[in-house]
Amino acid sequence: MGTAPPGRPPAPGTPRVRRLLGAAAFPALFVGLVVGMTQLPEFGDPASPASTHLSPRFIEDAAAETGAANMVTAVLADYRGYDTLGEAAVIFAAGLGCLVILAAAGARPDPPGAGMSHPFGSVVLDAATRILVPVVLLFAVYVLIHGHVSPGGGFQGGVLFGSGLIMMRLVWGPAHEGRAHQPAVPAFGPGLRGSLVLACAGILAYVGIGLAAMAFGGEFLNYGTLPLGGDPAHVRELATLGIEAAVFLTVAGTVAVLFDTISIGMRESGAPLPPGDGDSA
Amino acid sequence: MGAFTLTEGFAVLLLAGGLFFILAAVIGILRLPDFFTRLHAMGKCDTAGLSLSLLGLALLAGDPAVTVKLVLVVVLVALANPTATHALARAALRAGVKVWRADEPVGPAGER
Repeated sequence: MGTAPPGRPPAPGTPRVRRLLGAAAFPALFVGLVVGMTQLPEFGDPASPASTHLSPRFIEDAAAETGAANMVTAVLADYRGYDTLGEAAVIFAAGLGCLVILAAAGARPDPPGAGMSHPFGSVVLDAATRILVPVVLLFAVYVLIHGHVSPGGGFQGGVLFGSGLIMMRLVWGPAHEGRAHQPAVPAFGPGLRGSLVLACAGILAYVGIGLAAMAFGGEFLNYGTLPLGGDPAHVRELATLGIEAAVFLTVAGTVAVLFDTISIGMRESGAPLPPGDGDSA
Repeated sequence: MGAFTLTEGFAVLLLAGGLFFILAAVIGILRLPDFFTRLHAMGKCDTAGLSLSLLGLALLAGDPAVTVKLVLVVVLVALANPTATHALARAALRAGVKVWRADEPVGPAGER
């Protein structure tokens, strides 16, 4: 990684050593990856270890071991919990990156009239949103909880919840502004700061469940040891729901943070981060 | 020709009506001159076409749970579709998209 912006030759100040290292690392990595690729099993090879050992194990034991009728949920939140933790962390990091980059860009004045300088609402939109948003938010939680037995889960539910939050922002303006200027606007939903807290809480809850499993004598993210009562499958089912809820919070919070930072970055006056959004009460 | 029940007959009528409105919407989008007139064709005919088609399918569903879900979707479409049309028209008006008039026609993207 050079310090030069993409698409331009390296600045004269780039250290020679770094350029040489880059020139050496590229062919080494390239050859290593190409050689490694030839050793991979064919796509869809029924004799590969993934097909002969892993898949049958998941298919046969998932429902009994995790209590999840939806095998995708069992694999995603239990067997491959590490992987899902990484995915949630990537989404969270994307939100943080947007916050840092776009909120900083928002401090620069943009041409007047750009972006959502004021709420888009009208009487029709206001009335429809009041009816639609609760349905969307409730359906999001349904998708989260129903992920155990049907398609759905934390990622899908979280995106739905986030889109409900965005809908309110589109019609009533940013959550931290609507309250003061429009008392008639329903005071519900987290602002930018609250969404950030939601996303952080989700990641922390995910790691926390994993660490709790360690504290009770299991491995990280191996929920079987958690003292939740009942048989192991039921314990895993509850822990999986906790994991899905953590992912839900992360995704919902991050989606709202993304929207807020982008709309702040597009505003004409270009105020930096709002000092507070009034949802801490 | 096998005999069909009254329910199936109504369902076919509803589905045919739905297809008619969807066809009208397609023709409207292809033939009308500018953004607002096309939105006018799509917003109304899509809502009517989708609602009628879904009601026809609800009659054919058999499973009461599916029927109830389809009727709920109709309610949602009847609420969300006109609202989205309104939002699109509002956004276009705010963005300064020009309105087509017979004496001063504009292109689909608002160009003279």
